[in-house]
Amino acid sequence: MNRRPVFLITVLCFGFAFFYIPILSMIVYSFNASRLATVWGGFSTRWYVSLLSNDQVINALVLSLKIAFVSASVATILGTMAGITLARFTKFRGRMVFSGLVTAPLVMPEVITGISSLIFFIILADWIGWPGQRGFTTITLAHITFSMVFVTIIVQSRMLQMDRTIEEAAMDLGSRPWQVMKDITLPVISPAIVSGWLLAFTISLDDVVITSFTTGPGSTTLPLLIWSKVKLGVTPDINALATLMVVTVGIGVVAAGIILNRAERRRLIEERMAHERDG
Amino acid sequence: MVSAEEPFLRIEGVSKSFGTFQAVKDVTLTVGKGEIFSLLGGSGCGKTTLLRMLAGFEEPTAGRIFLDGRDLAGVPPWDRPIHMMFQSYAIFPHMTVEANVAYGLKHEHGMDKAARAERVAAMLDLVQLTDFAKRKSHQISGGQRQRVALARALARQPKLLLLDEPLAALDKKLREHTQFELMSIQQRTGVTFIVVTHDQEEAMTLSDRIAVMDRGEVKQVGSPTDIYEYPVSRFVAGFIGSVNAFEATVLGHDGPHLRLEVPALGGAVLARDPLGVVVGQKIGLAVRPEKIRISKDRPEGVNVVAGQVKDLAYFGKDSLYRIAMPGGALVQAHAVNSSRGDEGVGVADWDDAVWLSFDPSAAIVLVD
Repeated sequence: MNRRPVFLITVLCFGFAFFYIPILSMIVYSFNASRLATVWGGFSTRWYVSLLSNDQVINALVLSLKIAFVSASVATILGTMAGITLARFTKFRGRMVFSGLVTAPLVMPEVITGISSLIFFIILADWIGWPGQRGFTTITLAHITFSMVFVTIIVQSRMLQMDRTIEEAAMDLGSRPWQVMKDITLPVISPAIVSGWLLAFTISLDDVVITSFTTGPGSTTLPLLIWSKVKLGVTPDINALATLMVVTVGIGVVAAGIILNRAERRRLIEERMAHERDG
Repeated sequence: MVSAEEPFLRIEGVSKSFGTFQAVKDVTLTVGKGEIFSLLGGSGCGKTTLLRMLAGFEEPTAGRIFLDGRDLAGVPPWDRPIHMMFQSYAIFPHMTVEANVAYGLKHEHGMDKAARAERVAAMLDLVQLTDFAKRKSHQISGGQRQRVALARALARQPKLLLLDEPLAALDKKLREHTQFELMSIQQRTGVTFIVVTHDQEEAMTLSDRIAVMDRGEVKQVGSPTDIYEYPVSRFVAGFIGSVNAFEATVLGHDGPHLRLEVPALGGAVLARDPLGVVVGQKIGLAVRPEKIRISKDRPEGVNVVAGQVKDLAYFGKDSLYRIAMPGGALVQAHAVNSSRGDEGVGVADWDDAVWLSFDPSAAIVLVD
């Protein structure tokens, strides 16, 4: 194994460089003292300070988090129900249509979803006078429709892996189907539900296209704000904002990885110990 | 044990079809209270489908099931006083051992908290898992999981306990030990057990009675001895233990015996008369290997045939011989290695000319 796969390592380095040099340069330039984003003017944290005192940014962040939270929660409830239905009920009238409709947003171009949502909201406002003003409600509704499918797919695949006999065992021990769902099925698939929620939350948080179609005056989410600011030229405070987001997400991912890894290792050790007791 | 007027469990003409496939065909069985009853058969024989109909997971296409006089038709699984131990054990992975055992008790509305805790403790004690109460399913071994499943199924004191291949997931050493443990727990609790198994040895040691199933039908019901010594069909004789089977023609009656022409053995033999066969009828003849004696010298009596040792397998306490008949057929014979003489351990060696003999009572006539 002394022969080093030079070619492979080179390709790998190029790949990583391609991914991470832009992010690194953005982080470096967020500490730039100069007003010009691409000219180094010495180290400074002034953009972070100005960012935190910028009400526009704070408001956009709060709105984004609110939309992401509500839409992820609703999408998780609906998506879980759809996932369970698709996994459990293999034969019912219109299953193909239902399955197709649920997964359509996955392949639908975002622009189409955005435009159709916009037209739908306009027609709806014409007919029943609701939603009167586009903003939080319309963005949230649009986000629910396209993030639900991710929850559905995660939950459905977890349900298909699940050992069905544990549900039968609970039924056999006296539980009605709804009690089985509450006591057994939902707790067992809960990790899938949580990861579905996280995915829906993330997708909602960074969506630009659909949000820009369904938003209204005064409702600017963080990605929309960044997008509109960039149109006027990249300023260092955007770099600072993006750096904060990268660092937050990075810490979250690394922490989750460490926790999961530890739990998995402990589980393996315990399983091995349990097994040896038989031998 | 079975009361004359109404048996504890009565399965009456039960059939089950999945589409055009008939998994269970017109099964009628009765099981007495406190019995260990086995459904024995190969895969796809319908034994598991029958078990699932008892548990309530499948409804029979035809026929009825009565438990303790109550018709179970349309009763959902959660309302049946029948609990099941699943082949995979189906331990709830997100609960501790204790919570698994306690799960069914939450539906016992007459029970207070202390009584429940007491029952759980008693069940854990019964299966010797008291020290493991707080563990989760991945923290216990396969044998312990099997005991959790048993304790959980017994906790609500079911009238009937269904065990689906209870020992199949365990390794051989553990299986023997667990078999006796199951029997002792059954005796202590007095619960009626119905065991589904494909392992004939397991069925023989565990059960009071066995139903042998094949392609959805019950072929024979009886005690392990009945099934082994008095099989009623070629299938049952071949399925339980090993057997030498020959085709034969009835020549005539000879006192209490039947005289048969058996071409494979090169002549006429005497067999126990099962009554109801006629001269000239084609039947099957079965002789268990351990009921055939091997000797170097020609023995006295009837049913003596000559042959040559073709093959032998030495197992220590006994040996299995394959003897070639003059007609070319191979006959298996078991002999206990009781002597340890100078001429070798067994009765005969490779290529030795030997005499085989068996009592007429050991020869089973199979009409079916």
